[in-house]
Amino acid sequence: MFDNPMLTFIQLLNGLSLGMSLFVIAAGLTLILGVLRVLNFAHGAFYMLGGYVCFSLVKLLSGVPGGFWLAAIGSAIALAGMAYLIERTMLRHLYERDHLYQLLFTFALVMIIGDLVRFTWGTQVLSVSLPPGFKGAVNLGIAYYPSYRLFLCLMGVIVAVGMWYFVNRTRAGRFVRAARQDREMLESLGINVGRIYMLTFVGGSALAGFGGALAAPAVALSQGMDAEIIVQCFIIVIIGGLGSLGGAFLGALILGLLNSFGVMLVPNFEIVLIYLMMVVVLMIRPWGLLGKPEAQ
Amino acid sequence: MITQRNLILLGIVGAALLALPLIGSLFAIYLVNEILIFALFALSFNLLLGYGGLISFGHAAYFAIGAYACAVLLTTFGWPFFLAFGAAAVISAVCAAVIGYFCVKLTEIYFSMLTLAFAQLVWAVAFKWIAVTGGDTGFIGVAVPDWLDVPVRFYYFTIVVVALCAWIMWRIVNSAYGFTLVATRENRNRAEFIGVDVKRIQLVAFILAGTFAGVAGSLFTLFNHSVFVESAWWTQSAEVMIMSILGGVGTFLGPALGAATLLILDRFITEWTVYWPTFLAIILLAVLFFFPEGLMGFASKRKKKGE
Amino acid sequence: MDKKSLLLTGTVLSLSATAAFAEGDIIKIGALYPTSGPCQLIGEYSLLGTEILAEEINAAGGLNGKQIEVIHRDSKCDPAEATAMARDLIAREEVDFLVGGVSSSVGQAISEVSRQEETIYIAAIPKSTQMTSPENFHKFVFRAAANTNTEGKSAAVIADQLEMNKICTILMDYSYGHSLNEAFTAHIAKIRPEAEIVQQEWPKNGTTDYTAHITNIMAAGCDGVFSGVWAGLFPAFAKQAAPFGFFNQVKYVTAGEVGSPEVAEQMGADMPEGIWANSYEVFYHSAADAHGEFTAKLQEKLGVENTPSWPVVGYVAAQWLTEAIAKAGSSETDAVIAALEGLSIDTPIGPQTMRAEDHQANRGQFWGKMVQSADDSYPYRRMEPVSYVVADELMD
Repeated sequence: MFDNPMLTFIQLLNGLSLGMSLFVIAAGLTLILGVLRVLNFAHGAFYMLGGYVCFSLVKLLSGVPGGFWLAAIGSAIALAGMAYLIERTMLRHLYERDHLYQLLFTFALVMIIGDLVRFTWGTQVLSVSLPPGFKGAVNLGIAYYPSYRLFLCLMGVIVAVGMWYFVNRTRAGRFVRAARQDREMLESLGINVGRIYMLTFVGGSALAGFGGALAAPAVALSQGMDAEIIVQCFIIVIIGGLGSLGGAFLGALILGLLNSFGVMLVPNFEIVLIYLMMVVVLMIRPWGLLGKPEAQ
Repeated sequence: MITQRNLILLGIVGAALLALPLIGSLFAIYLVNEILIFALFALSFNLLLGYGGLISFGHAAYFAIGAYACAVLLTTFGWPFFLAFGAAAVISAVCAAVIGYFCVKLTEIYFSMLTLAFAQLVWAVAFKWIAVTGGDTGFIGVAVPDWLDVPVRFYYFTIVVVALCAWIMWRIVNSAYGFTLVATRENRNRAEFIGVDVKRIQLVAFILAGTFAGVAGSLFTLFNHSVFVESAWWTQSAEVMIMSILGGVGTFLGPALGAATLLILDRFITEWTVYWPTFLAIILLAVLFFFPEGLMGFASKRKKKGE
Repeated sequence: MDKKSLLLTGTVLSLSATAAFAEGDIIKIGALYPTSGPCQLIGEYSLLGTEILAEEINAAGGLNGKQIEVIHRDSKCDPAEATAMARDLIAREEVDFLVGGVSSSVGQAISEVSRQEETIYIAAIPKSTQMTSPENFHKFVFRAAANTNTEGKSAAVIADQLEMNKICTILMDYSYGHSLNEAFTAHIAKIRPEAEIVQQEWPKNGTTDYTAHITNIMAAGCDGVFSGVWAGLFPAFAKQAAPFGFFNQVKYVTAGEVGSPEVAEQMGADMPEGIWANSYEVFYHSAADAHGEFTAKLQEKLGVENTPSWPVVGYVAAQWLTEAIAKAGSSETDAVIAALEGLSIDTPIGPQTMRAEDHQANRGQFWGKMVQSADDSYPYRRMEPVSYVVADELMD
C-alpha cells in the first residue's frame, strides 16, 4: 500500500479530516465526562440536532453571504441554549444522585430529541450542500484534495488549540480543571461549582451542535446518525482517556486514520478491530492513552 | 423480606400465570411468555446492578451468546434439546467468566465502559461470523423439538425455567454470599478491610448474571425460532437497564415488573402513536424524579405507609 | 372489582362478541412497516400504498363480497420487534395475511413467524436472496420485491452497455452488498468476458465516511464503478465523492433505488449528473393507464406534484394478495397459495408474474441515466430515458 505515495498521502488527509471532525464532537463529550462525571448518551443526539438546526438555518439564510458559517454558529448557540435549559431544569438535580440515574436521564433525552427531530424535520434524508467556495478541490502540489475536508482539519486544530488555551490559560479554565480533579475542594474554597458544571455542560453541548453543523455538508442528515456517532465518540474518549482533551485529540486521530488505512490493511475485520482496540486499551490502560490513573 | 402478604401475592401471580392459557387467548400467551423471558433477563441484570452495584453496559452480550449458542447447537449441530439448552447456559457462563475476569478489575465508569466494549466486540463478531450466525440476516429456522413447539407447552416450559432460575437467584441473594455481595456494594473499602476478596465476589456475580442472561437468551431463541444480531447491540443492554430501573433495582422482583411494564407499554403505545419514544422517556423521567425506587419500590412504600 | 367496572367489562365483552360475529365479512391484512426508526420514510409510504389498494377495493364493493381491513403494526426496522408484532397481528388481530418488511433481517423474521403460524407473508421490500434460499424457503412466503439477483444482474447489463472494462465495486459489507456482488460478478463475467473486476471496496455497517473507499477506487484506475451504496446512504457518499472529481473520472452504476424521484429532489444539485441508477417507480415515466391513475391518486393523497416511489411497492405487494384471493374465490390459506403460484397480475407499473417454484415475482426495476431535467416544473435530475429492465431473463 505504501508503494503509492500519493495514495498514502490522500488517505492520510482522509483520516486526518475525519478524525478532526470527530474530535470537535468528542471534545465536548470528554469535557462533560471529565467535569460532571456524566456519561452523556445524549451527546450524539445533540450532534444530530446541531446538523438539523444548521439545515434549517442554511435554508433561512440562503442568499446571505456566509450563510453556512452563520448557520454553523447559530447551531452551536441553539444547542447551548437548549443545554442551558436542560441543565437548569433537570440535570442539576441529578448530580448528587447515583451515576445510574444520570445515565437514564440521558437515555430519556436521546428518545425525546429523536422524536423532536422526526416531528420537526420529517424522516427524509436531508442534505446540506457544501458551502460556496468549498465545493471543489485544492491543488496541494502532488494531489488535489477537497477544500472542505481541509477546512475540517483546520477547524479541528482551531478547536483543540482554543480549548487547550481555555482550560490551561484562563481563570475559568483553572476552575474547570480543578472541578475535574476535586469538586469538594473547590466547594470548600467557596467557588460556585454548580456554575462551573452548568458552563461545562453548555459548552460541551455547543461543541456537539457545532460538530453536527460542520458535519452536515460532509454527511447526510438522517435519523440514527446520533446512534452512529455516539459509539464512535465513546471509543475516542475511552482510547484517549476519560476527561482528557489531549486524549480525545489522539483518540480521534487514531480512529480517523484507522478508518482510512484500516480499509486498506484489514478490509474485512476493521469493524472487529475497532472494538478490540477499545477492549485492549481498557484492559491495559483503563485511564486511556493520555489520561491519568485515578486514586481509587 | 418474605412476609406472609408477599407470599400470598406471589401465590396469586403464580396461579394467574398458570391459569392464563385457560382464557384461550394466544395473544396473551405470547405476550406473557415474552414478558417472562425478559423478566428473567432483567432479574439476572439486577444481580449485578441491584445487589452488586455494578453498572454493566453490556449485559446483552450474554443474552446474545446464549441465544446463538442454543440456536447453533440445536440446529447446526443437531444436539439433543436438553443438552443444547444446558450447554448454551454453560457457554454463556464461560464467556461471562472470561470477560468478567477483566471487567471486575476496573471500577465505576471504567467497569461500565469495558463491559460495553466487550459487548460491542461480541456484536461485531456475531455480525461478521456469517457462517455460524448468519450475519445481519440472522439465524432463522431454529430446530425446536416438536414436543415443545406448541405455544401453550412452550409457555409452561418457560414458566418452569424462569421460576427455577428466579428461585436459584433468590436463594443466592439471600445466602451468605449474597450478603457479602451487598456489602461490597455498600462499602467496598470496608469489605476489603474485613478480608473480603471483592473482585472474586464480583466475578461470581458477573458469571451468575451472565449465565441467567444466557438462559433468557436461549428461551428467546426457542420462542422466536430465530436470533438476530441486534440482540447483542448496546441498545438491548440499555433496554434491560431501563426495565430494571423502571421496576426498581432495590427489590428482587422489581426488574421483572419493569420488564412487564415496558413490554406492555411497547405493545400498546406503538399502536396509537409513532412518537412512542417520547412517552417512554416521560415515564422514565417521572420515575427518575418522583419514584427513584421504581414502581416496585413505590408500591412497597405506599403499602408501608398504609400499614 | 366494583360494580361499575364489572358492568363495563360486561359491555366490552358483548361488544367484542358482536365484532367477532361480523368478522366473517372482513378480510384482514396485517401490514408490518416501520413507522419509526431509520427506515420510517420507506415504511410510511409503503403503508400508504397498501391502504390505497384497500380503499379502492372496498369502494368497488370489496373482495369476494368482503371488505378489506389493513391493520398496521410498527416493525421499527428491528427483527425481534417485527417478530413480536407479526405474532401480535396474528394472535390478537387475527389477520389472515401478512405483508411488509423493509430490511432483509426483518423479512427473515416475519418469514419465520409466517412459517410457524402457517400464514401467508408477502415480502414487499426485502431483497436478500437468503430469504428464499433452499434452507429458509417455505410455502407461506412470497416475495414481491426484486431480489438482489435481478438487481445485480440488471446492473451488469447496464455496465455492459456502458462498455465498462475495468470495474471497481463498492458494496456495503452486509448481506445486501454481498448478495449483489455475487449476482453482478457472475453475470458480468458471462455477458462481458473482457471486463475485469480490479478493486472491491466494502464500507462497513454504520459508516458515514466513504473517503477512504473513494480514494482507493480512484487510485485503482477503473473506468466503471458498480455501487450498492443505497438511497439512504447515497447523499453522504455523493457529497464526499464529488469534490474529488470522482463522478467525472468513472462511469457509475448504482443499485439501491438511488434514482428515486424523492432522492433526486432532496439532493437537488448534489445528485451527480450522468450516473446510472434504479428505482421501483418514477412517476414521470408514463402518464398513461393504470400508472397515470395511480400517480394522480397519489398526488391527491399527498398533495404533491412529484410523487415518491415507495407507495407503489406497498400497493403491489398487497395486490398480489387481493388478486390471488379473488382468483381463489376464498381467503383460505391453501387456496390462496395455490392461486398465487404462477399468478399474473396487472400492476400500475405493468404486468407481473409470481413464479411458482420459488415464490419470487418477476419484478424488474426502472433504470436510467440521471440528467438535469429540461422541464422547468421539475428542476431536478431525472432518468432520461427511463427504461424498465425486465426481470424474467435475469432471474435464476
